[in-house]
Amino acid sequence: MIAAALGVFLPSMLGGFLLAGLAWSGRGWMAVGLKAVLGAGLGMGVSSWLYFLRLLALPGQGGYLLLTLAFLGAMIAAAALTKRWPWAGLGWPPRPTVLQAALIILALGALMAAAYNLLINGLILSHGDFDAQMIWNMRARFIFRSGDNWRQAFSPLIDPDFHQDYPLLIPLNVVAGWNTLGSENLRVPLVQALIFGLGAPSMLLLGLAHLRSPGLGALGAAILAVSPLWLLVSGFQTADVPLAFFFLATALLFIVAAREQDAGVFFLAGLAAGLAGWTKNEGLVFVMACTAALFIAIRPTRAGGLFFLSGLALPLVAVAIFKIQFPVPNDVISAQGLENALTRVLDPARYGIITQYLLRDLGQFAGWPPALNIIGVLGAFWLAWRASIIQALRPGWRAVAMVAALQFGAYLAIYIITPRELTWHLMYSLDRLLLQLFPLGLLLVLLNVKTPETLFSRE
Amino acid sequence: MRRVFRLLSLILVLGAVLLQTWLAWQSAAAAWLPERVNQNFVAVWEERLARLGEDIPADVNFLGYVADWDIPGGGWGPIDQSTEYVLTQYTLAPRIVRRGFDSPWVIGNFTNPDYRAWLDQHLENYQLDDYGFGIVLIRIGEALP
Repeated sequence: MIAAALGVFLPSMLGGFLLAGLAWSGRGWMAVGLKAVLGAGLGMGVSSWLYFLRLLALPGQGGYLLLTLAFLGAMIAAAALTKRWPWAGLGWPPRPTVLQAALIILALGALMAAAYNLLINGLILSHGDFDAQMIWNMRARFIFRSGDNWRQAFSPLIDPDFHQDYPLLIPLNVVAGWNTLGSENLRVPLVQALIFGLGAPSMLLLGLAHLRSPGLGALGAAILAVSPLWLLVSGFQTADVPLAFFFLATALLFIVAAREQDAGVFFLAGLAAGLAGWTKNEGLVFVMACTAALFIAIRPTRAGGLFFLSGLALPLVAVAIFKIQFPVPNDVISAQGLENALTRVLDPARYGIITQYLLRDLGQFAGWPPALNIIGVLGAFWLAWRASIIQALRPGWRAVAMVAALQFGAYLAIYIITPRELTWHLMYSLDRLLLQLFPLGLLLVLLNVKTPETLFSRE
Repeated sequence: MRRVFRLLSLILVLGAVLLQTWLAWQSAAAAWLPERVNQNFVAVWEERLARLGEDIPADVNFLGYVADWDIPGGGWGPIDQSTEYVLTQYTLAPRIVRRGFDSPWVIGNFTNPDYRAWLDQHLENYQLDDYGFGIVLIRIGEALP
């Protein structure tokens, strides 16, 4: 049944791969691999909002496979007409050095262990964790089981604690899979979790290998893939890891786009950022942060800027329709009065509590044991290997650093004004919010060091 | 000296990754038993509510929910209250389950032995069907036979 669930998503992932190839002419094995992984996630996102538009337009819930095959067909036709196949010009793969081969084997081993871990835990905890049952899989059940009355999934009678205002990328893919397979197949959300949970480390591997070196990419991928909290939250079947996937996709595309000033890559970056907004509400903050960072740190050409905004617009149209059609208030915003918010902003005790929890979570960041604190390990690595960032990557690096800082600042601001009990809110969400930014942090650090391949070279 | 420092820091990163890789594999291998597939607390809860779900007429889309947390001094715990409330809604979707007595069909989930006295205080006329494990279906008004 896992193969069947994977088969449901295959056309959309292949369509995404071809879309990435159409928009970005990057050559080489690593670039092609990056297009494949990136495209898989983008395809999942695109098919999700296409399916949303289909639900709005027509009765019933069927037709997902037809829709994704049409998407794939359109991409094949476009690639054939323009002769821009993603693998164009691909020769024999370069022969890795012994050190590179060892590091790549390490990364592949880490990815295999992660896949095994996710699979076993996903088979046992087949409904995901509490948040998946309360929000993501719950929404999927409401929509799927309601048939033509699927709008009931957003009824004001439903307890607002179940967050009907959250965007629909994750639950709609599940609904689409269930409709295609004809039942509430528990492997559908598991496969989706596997795609994003393994996709982000794979993307880091290929992205860093394309931008810097395979050895550096292997290190980044291995660290992310086996980080205990990454594995745990990937298996939760919630939106945090898919969101982190789109954060990382946008960041890598920003760096590539800034280096190559390629309008097509700006389009893909906009699409990835917009899909973050279609995944979770935090993604909408990310969209704003990306737009600001793009025009301040990268300063693209007019075409680049327009392509970014057009990529962004596609998923954001789905978000706008969703928010207008189903105006469910957000719990943090709606319970907020200006006076209450101001009182909280001026309360110094809240800053102390937030700092305390922040330090606690940084001490066991991404679930690594305190004795092997990954910030400390990476810090030691950075101290030993630090180097100035390659000139061509600097504008993109600055943009990603700015996005990460703005996103982190927005999270802290939400905690300062949250109407919920502060310690409860911190306890149940801070580690996951920090995890969303972990791939960006890894990328930023690893772009700022010499490659491991230089270990035995002369200074 | 710098090269030694680099080598040591690389060994540190590789060692950390290898350890976590082994732990990720090992913990999954230890958890794996074929009979554990799909055997989780959601499955248990769905089984627990199966008969109750069948006893509620198909056209009833909105259900009330009361539990220990509604009884003054009844206690509150994240596992036996919030989790079970969410599980009840998750199980019975697309029927809407909402806390309170706002529907003639109300699910009760009690461990507190005094819950009958509390119900008597709040409801004039009701019928109770017991499904075990502290789960009851409370019929009020038009839901009464």
